[in-house]
Amino acid sequence: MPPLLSVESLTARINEEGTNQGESSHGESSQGKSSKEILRGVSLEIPHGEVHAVMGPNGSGKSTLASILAGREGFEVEGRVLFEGEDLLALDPEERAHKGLFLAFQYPVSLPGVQGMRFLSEALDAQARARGEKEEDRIAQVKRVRALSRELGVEESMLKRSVNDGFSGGEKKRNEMLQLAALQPKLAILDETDSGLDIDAIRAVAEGLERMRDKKRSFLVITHYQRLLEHIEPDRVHVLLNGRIVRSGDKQLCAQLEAEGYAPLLKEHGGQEAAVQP
Amino acid sequence: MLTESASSPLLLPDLPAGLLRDKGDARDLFLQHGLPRRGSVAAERWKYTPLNKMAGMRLHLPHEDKAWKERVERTIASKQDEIARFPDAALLLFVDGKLQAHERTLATTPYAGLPRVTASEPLAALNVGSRCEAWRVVLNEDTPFLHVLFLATSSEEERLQPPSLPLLQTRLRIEAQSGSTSLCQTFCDSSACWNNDVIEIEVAEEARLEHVVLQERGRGSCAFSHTTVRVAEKASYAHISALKGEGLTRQEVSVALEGEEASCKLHGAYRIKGKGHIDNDTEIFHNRARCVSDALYKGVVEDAGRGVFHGKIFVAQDAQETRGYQMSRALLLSERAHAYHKPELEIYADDVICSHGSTVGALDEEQLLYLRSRGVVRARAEAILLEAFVNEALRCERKECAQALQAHLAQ
Repeated sequence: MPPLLSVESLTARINEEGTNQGESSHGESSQGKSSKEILRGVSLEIPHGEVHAVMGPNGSGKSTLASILAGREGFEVEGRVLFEGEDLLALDPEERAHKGLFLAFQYPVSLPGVQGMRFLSEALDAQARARGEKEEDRIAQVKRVRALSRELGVEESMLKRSVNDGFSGGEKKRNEMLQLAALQPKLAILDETDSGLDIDAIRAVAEGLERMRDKKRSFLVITHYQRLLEHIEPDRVHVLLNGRIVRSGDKQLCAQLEAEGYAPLLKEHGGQEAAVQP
Repeated sequence: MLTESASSPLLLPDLPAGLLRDKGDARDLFLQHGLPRRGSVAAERWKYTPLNKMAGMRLHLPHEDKAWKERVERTIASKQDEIARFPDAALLLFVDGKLQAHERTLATTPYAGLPRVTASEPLAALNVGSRCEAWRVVLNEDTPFLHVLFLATSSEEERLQPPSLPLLQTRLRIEAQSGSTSLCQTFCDSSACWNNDVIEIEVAEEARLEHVVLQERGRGSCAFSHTTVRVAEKASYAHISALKGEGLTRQEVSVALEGEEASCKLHGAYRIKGKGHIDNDTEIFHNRARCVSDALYKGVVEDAGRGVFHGKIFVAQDAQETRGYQMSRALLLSERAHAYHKPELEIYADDVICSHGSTVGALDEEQLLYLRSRGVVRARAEAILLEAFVNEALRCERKECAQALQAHLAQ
């Protein structure tokens, strides 16, 4: 059986009018006048049922990796990404979702006028249709989503409000978790889901993820900090520096990073240009 | 040396004989000024809705012969769903501008009063200066809900040469006397016509009126409407419209807040396709203290369509503690689509909160990506976002009207 996700020598340049969001566009890397290389040959394999963490300083390309996997446009991409053996990069974002890929956004946009439950129903029905499955009965669907929201500590009133509209940072992240739990993807990519959350919220998110963990479902957790990984134990940890994975290891690696920071790795990999380019 | 004249020549459509009254201010005004043209008094108000092409256009009145009567009956028979749309409402059913009897028809009386029109309202002047049916209706607790349905018979079978459009005009006077009342106007044309309607509305002290308009115009069809409203003390008036199509629509709504603490809400959304043109022209006069007004117009323009919004807020010197809000937003879905927004604030009082804003843009790619990343296909994601966009301007209190408004502009 092929791994769930296989990323091979992935490079990405951002086009001048690229629309990428997140760390790279706020920082230095997208400010260049010509196209700027953000990922410089990333290779990564995630087998079924494993939790992988990608850590790295600001501007190292973490969010770009997540964006490209989810299908955001605005990048020149080379290399190969296989999802269950299938060419992921050839698929539209919605087709990737149909195959079982989910991205919890770092900065989820708000959708004024689109009610939370309606949004989830549209997504669930679209995925069922695309997979040739029967659409879930509406009443059963609402019941199931309500039960999930209770489990995750998401106020049920959130389902009646417009998606992310006027939500606090924490509410937005919890809402991403609720969508993740409802959609039951094969691979969930969490793009800095822990940033902006207080300790209790991080624990709630981690507990939610832990409950979803099984032999088939995999997670790619992108984070700055160790905190989330204290609650959800990763099988592998990768360090992304300057667009390359410079070290991979088990959970000990994240303890080491927490203790020493990225500085020794930056030094080792000539990374002055990596994160702190002016 | 050639010098440009101060105004271009008078523009008039080719009107049917016997249409205009023999005398009268409105008639004279129309004949004096004609359709809006460069340099005319009306030019500024009609800047983005030029009617030059209407000059010389042949208009005719339906011949009320036996064949016409048969067409009327066929039209009524084929529009039963439309007629039964609001079963709880009293009904005024017009076919080709003529009131038809129906079991739910409300007691009406012919109305001889003539609304005052100005030189910048040439189409209203044409209506008021014409001989056409005019009816007065009273709404109150006993009759809180009225559906006014405008149908047009298909004139294709007339095969007129040279081409000519039927001119369909009506005049209504609606008096909301007490309680919470609703008026829903719907238009259904199966072939090209030229509607030109005038509605005068009075909302009495402490009364409430919610006025809903649903309209679709096909290619080659024109719809002009002129609504003037007077709102008395502590009364409220809401005008909520959903307009769409490939034809030409200009909807003028002019509200005078004539009593203290009166309020009005002018909301509307539109969707334009083809070479369609939809113009919302609004005026709100704050003539007394402590009145509130809120205008919100949202449009979606596709293909080579044009959307126009003109919003005037006038605050008289005595109208202290006025609050007036105005917002117009348009989404352009094609490179050939256009939207023109023109706010106009004229304020003479000094204790006033007024705001206006305007945006024109495309669908948000971030929002689309968010929906698509959850598995919603692009076309559906666009439809969801467009629906959410227009629905903000289509909220209303009467449930069946709210549903009708939203359904009217759904994909």
